[in-house]
Amino acid sequence: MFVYSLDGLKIDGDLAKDVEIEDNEITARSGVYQTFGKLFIAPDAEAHQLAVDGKWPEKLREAAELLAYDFDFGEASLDGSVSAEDFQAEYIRVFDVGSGDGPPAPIVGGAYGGVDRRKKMEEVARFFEYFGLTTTPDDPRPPDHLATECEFMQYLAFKEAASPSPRLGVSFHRAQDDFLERQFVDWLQEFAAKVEAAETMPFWVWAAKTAAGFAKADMQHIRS
Amino acid sequence: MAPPPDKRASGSQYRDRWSWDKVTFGTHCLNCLATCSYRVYSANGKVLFEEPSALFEQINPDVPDMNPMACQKGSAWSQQIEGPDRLLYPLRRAGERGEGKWEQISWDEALTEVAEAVVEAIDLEGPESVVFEETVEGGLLTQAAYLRFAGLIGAVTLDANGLINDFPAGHHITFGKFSCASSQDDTFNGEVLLIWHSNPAYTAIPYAHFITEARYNGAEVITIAPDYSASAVISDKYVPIKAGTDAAFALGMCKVMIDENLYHEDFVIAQTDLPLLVNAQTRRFIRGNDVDNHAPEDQFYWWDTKTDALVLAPRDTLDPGAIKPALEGTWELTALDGSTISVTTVWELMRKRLQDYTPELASEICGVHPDVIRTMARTIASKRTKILEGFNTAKYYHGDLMERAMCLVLALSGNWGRKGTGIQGLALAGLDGYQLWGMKQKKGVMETIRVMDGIDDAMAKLREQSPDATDEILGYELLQRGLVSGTASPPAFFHYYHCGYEETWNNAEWSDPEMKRSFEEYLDDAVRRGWWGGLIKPGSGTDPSVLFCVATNPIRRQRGGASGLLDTLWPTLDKIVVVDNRMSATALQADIVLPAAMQYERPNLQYAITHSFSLGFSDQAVPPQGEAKTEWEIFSLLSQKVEEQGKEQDCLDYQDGRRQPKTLRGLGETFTANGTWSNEEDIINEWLQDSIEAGTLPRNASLAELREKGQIRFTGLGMFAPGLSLATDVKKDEPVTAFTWHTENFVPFPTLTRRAQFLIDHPWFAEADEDLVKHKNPPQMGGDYPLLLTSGHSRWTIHASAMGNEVLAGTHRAEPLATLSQIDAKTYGIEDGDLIEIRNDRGSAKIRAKVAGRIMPGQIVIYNGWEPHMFEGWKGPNSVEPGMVKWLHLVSRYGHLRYLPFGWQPVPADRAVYVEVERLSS
Repeated sequence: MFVYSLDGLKIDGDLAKDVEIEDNEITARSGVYQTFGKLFIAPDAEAHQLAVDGKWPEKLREAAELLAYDFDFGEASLDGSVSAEDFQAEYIRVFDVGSGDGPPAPIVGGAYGGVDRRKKMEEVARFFEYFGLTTTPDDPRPPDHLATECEFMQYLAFKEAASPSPRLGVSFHRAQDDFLERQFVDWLQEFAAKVEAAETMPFWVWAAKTAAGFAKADMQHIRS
Repeated sequence: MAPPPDKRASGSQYRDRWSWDKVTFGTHCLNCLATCSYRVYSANGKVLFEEPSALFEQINPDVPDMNPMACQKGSAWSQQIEGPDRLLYPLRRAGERGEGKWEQISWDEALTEVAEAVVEAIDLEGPESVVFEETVEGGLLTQAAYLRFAGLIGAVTLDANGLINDFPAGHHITFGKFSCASSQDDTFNGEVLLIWHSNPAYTAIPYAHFITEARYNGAEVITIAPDYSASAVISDKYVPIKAGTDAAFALGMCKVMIDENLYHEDFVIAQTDLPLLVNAQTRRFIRGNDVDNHAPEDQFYWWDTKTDALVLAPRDTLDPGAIKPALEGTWELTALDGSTISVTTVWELMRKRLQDYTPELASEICGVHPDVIRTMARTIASKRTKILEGFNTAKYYHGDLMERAMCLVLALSGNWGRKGTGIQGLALAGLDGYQLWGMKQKKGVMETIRVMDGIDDAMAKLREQSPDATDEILGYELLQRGLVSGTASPPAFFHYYHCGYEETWNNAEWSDPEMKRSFEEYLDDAVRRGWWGGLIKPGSGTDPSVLFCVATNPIRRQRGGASGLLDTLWPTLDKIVVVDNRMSATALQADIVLPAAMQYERPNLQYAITHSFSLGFSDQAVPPQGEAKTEWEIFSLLSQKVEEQGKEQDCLDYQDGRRQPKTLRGLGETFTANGTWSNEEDIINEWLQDSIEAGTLPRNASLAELREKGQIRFTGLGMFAPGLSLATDVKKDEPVTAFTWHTENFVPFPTLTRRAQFLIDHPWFAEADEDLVKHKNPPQMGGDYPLLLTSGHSRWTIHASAMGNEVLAGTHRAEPLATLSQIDAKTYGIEDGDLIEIRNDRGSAKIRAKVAGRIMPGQIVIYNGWEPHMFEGWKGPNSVEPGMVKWLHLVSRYGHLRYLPFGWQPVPADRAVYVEVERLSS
């Protein structure tokens, strides 16, 4: 039984009725995005421990068990000598703040593709809103944050799987395709390249490349 | 000593004029059917200028693109933002209506006063006493605002097309639909272009280049018009025709096509009702219940020449398959009662009818030489021919006959459903999100899908009852069923019952002499039979109390003149509210005038029309001038005020005209769906997303995309009947060619017979001898006078909207003009520039004369758009127009002849009015 979870997004009243559904290939996709969403939140102690134990690839594989296509999530673990504080500090350095010139690999989509970030955020927020979600006021992450966008993909896939109406299912399916194409896949490739160039921990390089690779593969899959 | 200042004009003075800090996209109004896209340059909150964006993509390297999509009206639009007639703050009448005394009031005062009147009207007379004049001006956000408000309180909205009469009734009679225009770039594909009852070089400037480009492509362009128009100048041939005689000319060509065996037999058999069997005596179709106990009444029949037997004409396809229906012949059938019926075909009846239209006989009526009729018939029958028709025929009393005759020309020559063919007119399609939004209770895809699934369910139920019906037919059926619970009403009834038209419309001398009864008797008969049941609003016993005119100007436009409104309707109204951006003639006669934002001052979408097949967008470049507000904000605030007044006047719960419960509780919140649709951007975004869901916009359509490109090309016809009526697949690299589903896939038409229908066997049509198309002279509207007054759109303004535009005023004489021929001018002793009076039994108007050799003797032309206050005594050309309504358009519940919004309904005529002229002074 797949249960979806949202952290940076808030769901409209009526839409929250379905909270769990039998596992299938679509919920598997939803689960992978759910896991990526958790992976790209600023890491707490639990996330750190999972990284040290090399459990993140395993969690992704578990989520992907019923996936209709093969995807290699690889292996990655964090050097045990890296403390939780340092792990989080590195996340902030690489993705959030940087040291003077901004982060080397911003974790927000509006920073890529030479677009006006304000417009990008507006567009993403409108997308969320149309499909029944709003960003939660108490969450500091912007709507174009990678974790939030992963959550959105999780939600869209779940709603596709849970849809009582074939037309609605098609609509949510198409929304995933649109979102991947217009808001997600392209910037994620640029993001992964920047992470790789950021002289950061191999764990984050793995995380970024795996997420970028999965998004691309997933887009190809849902188009097929 | 300081050097003297340099008084030379420096280069920077000129350069600075072209400095801007913001560039947005803009579009203007609907009325030339263009969705132009301009770049709008502004600085410091002021619009500096605009220029065509020319960003329409070329969809096919072999077809010219839409660019530049512009005209002088659009290019000078920004002048109107601060024009002399611009409204800047709310006004309340301080003297008598029309006296011209006003006081400036606050928005709160204005809205409170309007809300008091609305609630009082609801309390005393019911919500149908609150009446809105519909409009197509202002864009979709304008319309959305007042329609939502009207729907929530249960008011009446008078159908815009019944007011402006852009409804080509003859198209509807023939095809069961009127929204059938291909995209304008399909003009390029034509081999013969007939500019007929239109003047695109004047009135459709953005699209006129396709005509010239088609000529370069080898097309022959022929203008058929009484006057040597600006469009005739760019044509290969000019066919001068007497005004109002087009049906005779067309039928003359039809006669030639049949006599010379030029007609396309397979096309005629498959696409039209001409091979259907009729009772030779009664001229009524042979129906299922004539010959078969089990067949439905709307089953029709052919005579199969292969088996020499009666066969069913299939209702689910136009394809005759193995059957070879006869066009010619007479047979005998045994009816259910045992009697013998002599039957023949519609074709045979039509051939007999056409005996009255040999080229020589037709020539006597229309003035076109018989040889020209013959030559044109041969040309059209052998070439891909497109009729570029505007909305001029629609405004003739017998315009439906002209249109039916034009359609017959196309039918015989096989000229629809192929590239470069068909008949241009109106086509509304594309923004399905707008339609869906009207049915949604809240925002978001889940609600959209709920509505779409609901439509599917309703369609499925209808399909159970009519399994052979097409989606288009079922869509119209669904639309019909929803109408009674809506606000829309054909305005002819309102005008008759409340605006003093009884005497005029019952004037037998101004009506068709073949009417056997008075207009009133026909009207009463139609009402008694329930043909318009639930659609005549306000209902019996309810008097109108409050009139809203939102971006509409009935005092200028009203067929039959403003007197019917001012003398009859106005005194009965407690409150007249005008919402507009300029001080129109109607605003001058109102009680409360509310200033509205105009284009460039708010985000807005253009009406979705298929002529450019693109969605036009206009962004906010500058804030609204003065205290102007958008219509959405105005009606949002008014909703709150009405709710407050409902509480104050203890009138919160009431019944609408159908005795359904209505409430004003929570009206303010309901209007915006609890703040969901609090502004234009939220609404536009929802329409775009929902249109993507419905498949009419590409998946990348968004407000951001519109702000990037200014327009977006539609991708499909969508799910609603008006869009489906184009009946064609939309291809991303081809112009849109209407009716290919009919010709290539043999999809039936939404008519009674499921075919393009040339016999209307309704008893009223038969009585008028109009069951088959024929020519009829324009009735003697206005009296027995020597000159025929006609009209058309002006080159310099779209209706009255640019009358206050000083830049445009500098390009013409900027005063009302009546154009007449040199011959008539000589007869009446008139010289160019003289003040003349035109008059008839209806009224009179004083106007300057323009003498021009291009006008045919016997005709006088006054282009429309002049405001009444530009004439002495406010008497303009509509003072001499009786605004007669053709009684046959009261017919309803006959197959496809039934009310549709913007469609089938009685509409007034304002062309071909008889007048005389007299010179008053130089």
